Amino acid sequence: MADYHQLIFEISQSGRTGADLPESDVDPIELDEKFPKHLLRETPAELPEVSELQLVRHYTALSHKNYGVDNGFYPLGSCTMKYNPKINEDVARLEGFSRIHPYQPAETVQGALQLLYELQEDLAAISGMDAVTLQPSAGAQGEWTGLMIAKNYHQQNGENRSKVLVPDSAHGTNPASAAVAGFDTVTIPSNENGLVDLEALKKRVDQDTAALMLTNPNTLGLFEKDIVEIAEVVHEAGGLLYYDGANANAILGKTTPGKMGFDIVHLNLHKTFTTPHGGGGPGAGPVGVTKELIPFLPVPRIEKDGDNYIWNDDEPLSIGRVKGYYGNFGILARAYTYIRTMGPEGLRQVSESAVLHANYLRKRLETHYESPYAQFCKHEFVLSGSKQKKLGVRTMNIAKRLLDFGYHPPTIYFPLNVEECLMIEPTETETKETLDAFADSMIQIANEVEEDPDIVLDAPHTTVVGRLDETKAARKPVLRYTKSV
Amino acid sequence: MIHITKEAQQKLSSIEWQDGVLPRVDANVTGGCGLTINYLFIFDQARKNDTIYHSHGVSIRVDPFTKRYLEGNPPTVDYSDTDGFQVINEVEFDSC
Repeated sequence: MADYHQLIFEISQSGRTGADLPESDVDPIELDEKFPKHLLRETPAELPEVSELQLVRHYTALSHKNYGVDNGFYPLGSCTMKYNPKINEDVARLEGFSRIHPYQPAETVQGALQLLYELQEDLAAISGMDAVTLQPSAGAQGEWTGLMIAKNYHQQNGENRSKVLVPDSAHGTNPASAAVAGFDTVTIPSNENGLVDLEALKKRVDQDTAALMLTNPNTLGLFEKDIVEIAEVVHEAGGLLYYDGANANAILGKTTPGKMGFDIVHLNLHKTFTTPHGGGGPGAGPVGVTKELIPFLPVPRIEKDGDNYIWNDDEPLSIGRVKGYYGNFGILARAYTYIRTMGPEGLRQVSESAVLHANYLRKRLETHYESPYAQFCKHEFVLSGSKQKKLGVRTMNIAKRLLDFGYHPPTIYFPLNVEECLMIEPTETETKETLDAFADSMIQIANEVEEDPDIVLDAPHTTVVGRLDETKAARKPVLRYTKSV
Repeated sequence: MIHITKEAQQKLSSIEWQDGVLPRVDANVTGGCGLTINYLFIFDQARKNDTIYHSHGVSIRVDPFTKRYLEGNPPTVDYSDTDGFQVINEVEFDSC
């Protein structure tokens, strides 16, 4: 079956077809009579010519090369690669959801609007906010939406605040979103405990501060225990507090960003609420706000009028529409199903198990790898490959060696303030056996680094493609198939 | 494997080396999703399995990880009073 590991162009045979078309019953046309000559191909497109069975085997083989949570353990830190329950798929495929059109009159899609409305309410309760928009289609778009709400709020108050504060452990999307929204970013350093340096924050907050963007727990997996004081510092200067919900899997049902003092929240449904994740989407990044920011939410908004659900476009202070139609409906249906099947107690257990799993793995690994913040963590933790670096092996090699054991590697080299960082997020859906097997593999790799480093340096050994020449790929990329002669 | 400019040679020859310390060209990985490798010129102790390159009377260490990235892409070590030592050879690639 080696053929099916080749490109489809490489198994192509001239004249072979997968389907027989009937004789054409219309007169042929001359292309150059209908199209300008410069738009016509000069050489044939050389599309692959294969049989139906070849086609099926080719794409089935390709699908087997995918790696996802359905294949195996995927501890990608800050990405919350948890299992997507299949009941979500059943609900999203119900005809009343999958065969409706966004332009249908509201009275003909009341069930879908009820789902959206109740999801808004559920996410508002989970985040401690007063209202939620479901429009943004990803976390980063949620960030941008939230920052535009902050910008318009300040402008409505007669202020043109230009700065957004971002901790040095923040996701890279935070400063990127701030820049796209027209703000300058100011970095807040972490202290020796991996938390926001409160004194440094106080020095940088001023009357020009539009917002502080914060992830809590942060990307080191540590809870910002000074969050109430942080909120006070920002609010006293007239700024807003923005919650990056990337790590919300640690706090479900335990606390809310609202209780911590946040004014704007985005949640990643594709992380915390089990909608499919990776591969470029579609995702969903709903944004919640406190009551004074509600007028600035995107329109249209879904509201309840008596027993009916309606679209409301009439919000003069709104930042406008941020996504065509009303968000990625199928993804929203999946998240709604997850929240309703779990219930409040189930969601609380999610966070408790996620935190327990992370701490279990951390304890098993901390004597084999440097643990720069050796304290109880939340849903994820960081290790440093600094001990292995002294032996000539780097975190990147460790990550590639993990492929040989059948795991997707953790997030590596992030956050930036940890040398040779490995950021591990096991999630709540894995068994103790899986966690132990992963820990055993990590410990074996640590031992190999000391006893036989070449096996780690040469990894991966068992994948279809071995160690890639990243330097050559970066300098001389081959982005187009060329038929070998 | 490693080129050293005249300015860097002169500066290195003027340094009094402490016990066990040698210059090193070190691949430094930063990033997360998109990874960047840049090369640092540092002075430190030996690491296990180091390779030592001798160039223009100067010994320079390279660890096994760095060595693989340098193969086929020899870097140049330069020195200036304003920027200090610099390794000219940078690689960026996207791991997403």
